[in-house]
Parts: sequence; structure tokens; C-alpha cells
Amino acid sequence: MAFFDVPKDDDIPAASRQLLEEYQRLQGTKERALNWQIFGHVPRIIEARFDAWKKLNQDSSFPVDAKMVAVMLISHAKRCRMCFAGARFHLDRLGFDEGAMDAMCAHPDTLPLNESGRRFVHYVLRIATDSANLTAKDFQEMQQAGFSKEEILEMIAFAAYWIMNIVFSQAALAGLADD
Amino acid sequence: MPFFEPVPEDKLSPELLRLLEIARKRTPSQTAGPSVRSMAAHPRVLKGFVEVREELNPIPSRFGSGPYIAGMLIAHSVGCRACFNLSRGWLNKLGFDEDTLSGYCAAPATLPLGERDRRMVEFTVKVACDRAGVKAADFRDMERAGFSTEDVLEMIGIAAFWNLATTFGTAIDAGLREE
Repeated sequence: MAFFDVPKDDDIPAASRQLLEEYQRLQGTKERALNWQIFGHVPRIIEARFDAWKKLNQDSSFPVDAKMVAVMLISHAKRCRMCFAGARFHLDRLGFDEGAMDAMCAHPDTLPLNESGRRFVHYVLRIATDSANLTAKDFQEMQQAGFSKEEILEMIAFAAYWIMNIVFSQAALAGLADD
Repeated sequence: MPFFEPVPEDKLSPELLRLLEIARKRTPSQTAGPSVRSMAAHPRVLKGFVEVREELNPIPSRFGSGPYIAGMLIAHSVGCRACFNLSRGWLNKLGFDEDTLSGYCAAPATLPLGERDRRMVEFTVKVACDRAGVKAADFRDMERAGFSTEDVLEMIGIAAFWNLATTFGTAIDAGLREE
């Protein structure tokens, strides 16, 4: 039996339920994400996650294909099955087949994206997996690659959001598994 | 010259000043630090960060000083100076002396805390730093120790928040250092 029971919609306050419905609509999925629904027990967390998802991820100005490739590679590096599957679901809808996605995971330096997209993924992956070793020189390099300071802050925010979301997803997955 | 620079207050809109005021109250020194003032260069990012902190790591906390002890240990393990200093500053204010806190960092597996506080901190740090190692049995252990489902979900939220904060903190701190 799983530790977490998944609250029914009727047991979740209307405001939080609307956020879950909005999240589902924007994701374009038929089913509610269980790793979000379980937080119906603490509606404040649903609101926090939704706000962060919108401001740090969804409203980010970078192209959606580059963002989804970055999410797939961050999830791959951090071994988050749920986020990895979610990113691949979106990439599939964008026209990437399984072979192309596997190849991106195996060779993240040769991504089938435009130059700007490749650079975005490269730096976001670096921030997400090795932020403690970043130096001012890395940021100068990002700027020389064509990113403004505002865009670099946006890349940090994007990476930070996904590191946070992976914690939610992996913990939810463990608590939803049968003992 | 550092890559990132704190935005001067006279260049901030009333909304950004409001967000910085919220951020200021969250620091032991009651001053908004350079990291958060640098984020002001990208209003949406600052708003996302400030709001998610209020929602996932509220003050006062149902766990007392636990979230800051967990925050200090998480920041220590990933090398985030900004989050480490902030957590430690709060703990100093709450009456923890430097030797005691250094002892926690040196031996996080044997924290000399009360049973409930120790379990809260250990579980939160595990969710934050050893995500793949969290199993269904860990949740049952917490339940047997008297924690509710809501308590456990709150701890996941705190762990997730510190992962977001340390990613922001380490990256922006690197850009604030002199080249």
C-alpha cells in the first residue's frame, strides 16, 4: 500500500483545484499529475508550485523545444523518472522520435537544435548539475555566446525551478510506491 | 568587476521595492542581500523566488527552527555560502551558538536534537540531498514517529525550496564575485 493517498477533487479547496486544472490544461494532458494532486493535502504547496512553474519555467522566453530538451537532460542527470517521462512526452508532441531523444541523452553536445538552443541547453545543464563550481568567467562566456544578463538570470531560474521540481517528483514517486 | 550587480533602490519600481521588503524581513540582519537585489534585474524571477520562499518555507514554521537547521545542512553539503550564512544567522538569533552549529555540520548523522526535531531535520535533508535514496519505508518511519501526511508533505516542500534556493544562491554568488 502506498504511503500517500491521492485526495479526490472534492477534497481539495476550489482555488487549488482550479490551479491543478489549469496546470493540466496548459500541459495538454488527459490525466491529472499525481505528483501534484497529492499536495491537495496542503493546498499552499500547490499554489507555490504553480506560481513557480509559471514564473520560473512556463513564462520563460526561451523556445519550448530547447526548454524541453534541457528538462529531459537535467532529469536524466538527476535520475528523475517522472520529469524525464514528462519531458519526453512534450518532445514527442514537438516531433522528436524516441531514437532522436535517446541520441540527445547519449550525446548532449550534439543536439538537433539551432545554435542558440544548443547553448541554452548547455548552460542550463551546467547550472543545474554543477552550480557550486560556476565562476564569473562562466557568465562572461554566456554573455559572449549572446545571452544578456537578464537571460542568464532567467536560465538560473529555469535550472533552479527544475532542481526544485525534481525533489517534489522523486519524493512523490517514493511515497506513491507500494511498500 | 563582478558580473552581477545589486540593482540600486532608486531604480526599482514600487512592486520590486515591495518584494525586496519581504526579502529583507526574511534575513537575520534585516537587509536584503546582494543575491536577491541582483535578481531584481529580472522582475519575474525576483517575484517567483520571493513568493515561493514565503509559501514553501513560511515563518513561523510548524517545525520551529528545524527548517533552518535543515537549510544550513543542505547548504553546507552543496557549498552554498549565501544560504549557509542566512540559515546560520537565523539560528544564531534563535540562540544556537557557533560551536553547536559547527558540531551539527561536522556530524549531521548524529544531531543532538530532541527526537522529533532530529527526525524532521534528517528526513528533510535526505529528501533534499539523497532523493534517489528515499524509499516508501522512510515515509512509514516518519508516520510511526508521529508525523502526519501533511507534516511529511511540508518537509518535502522545505527540501524542495532549499534545492531551489541553493541553486540560485551558488550561481548568483559566483556572478557576484570579483573576476
